[in-house]
Amino acid sequence: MQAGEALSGLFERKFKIAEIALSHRTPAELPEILGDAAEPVCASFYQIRGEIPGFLLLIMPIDEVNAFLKPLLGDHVTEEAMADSAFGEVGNVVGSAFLNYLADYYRTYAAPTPPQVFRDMVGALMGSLAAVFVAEGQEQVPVVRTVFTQESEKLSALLLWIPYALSLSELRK
Amino acid sequence: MIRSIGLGEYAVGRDVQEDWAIYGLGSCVGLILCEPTTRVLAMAHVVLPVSPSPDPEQPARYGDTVVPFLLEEMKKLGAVTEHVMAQLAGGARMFEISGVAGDIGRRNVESVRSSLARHGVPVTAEEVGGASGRTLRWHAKTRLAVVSRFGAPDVILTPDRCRVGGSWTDGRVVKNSTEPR
Amino acid sequence: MARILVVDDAAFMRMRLKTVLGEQGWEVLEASNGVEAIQMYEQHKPDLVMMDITMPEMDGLTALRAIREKDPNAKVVMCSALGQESTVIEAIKSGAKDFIVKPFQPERVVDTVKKQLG
Repeated sequence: MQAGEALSGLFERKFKIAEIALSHRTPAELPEILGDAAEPVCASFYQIRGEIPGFLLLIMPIDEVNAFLKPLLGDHVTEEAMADSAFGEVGNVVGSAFLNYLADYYRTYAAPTPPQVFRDMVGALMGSLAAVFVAEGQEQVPVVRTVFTQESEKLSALLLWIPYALSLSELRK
Repeated sequence: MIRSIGLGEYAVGRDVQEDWAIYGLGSCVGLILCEPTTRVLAMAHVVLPVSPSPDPEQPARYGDTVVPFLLEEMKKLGAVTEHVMAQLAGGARMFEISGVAGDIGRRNVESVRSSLARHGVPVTAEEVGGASGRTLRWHAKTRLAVVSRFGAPDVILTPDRCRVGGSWTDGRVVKNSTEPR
Repeated sequence: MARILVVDDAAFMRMRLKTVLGEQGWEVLEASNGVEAIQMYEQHKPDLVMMDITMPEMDGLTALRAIREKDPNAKVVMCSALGQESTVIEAIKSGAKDFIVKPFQPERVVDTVKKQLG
């Protein structure tokens, strides 16, 4: 049954962190964090509630999204609302896995908001986020880029964790 | 050769020969000031509506300081401020973020508009608001400022008075508006 | 014919659970946030609730407590990606019968439901 076939994969096997890299960027550097600021991407955005405030983004180039979601959705992949819902849920699962790791390690609490899914230029999204940090007076933005695997296969979507600098320094204490 | 204008940056020039671009305007506002008689052009990437201090390090970053700053820079190149015209792009509402006071995009647009009004600079065209990202590009060859969005037709901002050598030729949408949308 | 209320803000996840549960012959009702969950529970009195946590309007833990307050016999199983220690403990303390952490195997869901309906 097609729906049965669609259920395999992404939503059944646990995620593992394959690579994790922290860098500090100026707000002006954020729009080009994945290369070309004008590149259209599918991005799922979450604010983080709890003890580690900041933001999470799951991002992938827009022309890879259908192939990425096809195993999950079958023919539903062409329904943009359902595709966005699935992408948002992938981000929720992957992002929560990340936050669960942090929260349990640091014995604290951190939860994502429900997803906001965008199909737009990565620069417009990252630039708007940069403005939030500038408004908070933060000229150095920590960006943690994480690549996940499932059974040794790398997820082609990238997870960005962008905490407020205060969150990061509080954690390190 | 394309000059990319990043967050808080600006460019000013006379008889500019290279393209200028702001890629991915979300809540930020791309501001163009043009002075057709002396062919002086300025472009800025505005990030926030209000500067934290009266004399900030990056005056082009803030809606309330960018206009007088650019006008001064344009005057240095010979521009006549009475002839300066403005075009705006951006100021979209991208994320819904709680805790951030209000809507940065909308406030950026309002701040720039009121500053322009205070300095007697008319806004001859704008492509602002909404929820989509935009790229603002000034093409040196045709002297046209074009706004493009992912999945939407291009929009030309440059008013006829500022154009040199005729109209845009490849069939894209042309808009000259003095009304905010 | 057991009735299960599936609560999740992601249409995709509701579709998925509906398929998994429907294949077992159970009737599936849907709600997309905590407020709807409470309304649907009162209206239909399902045999079991599968409750997500991260939702707009009202989160799943708040809805869990509200449902349990009105009906102390309510059977609610949390189904969430938010499997942090503090969250799981809070859910169980608030009366959840079990906690399934996403991503999950369909068998885990089916076995859990069978156990609760048992």
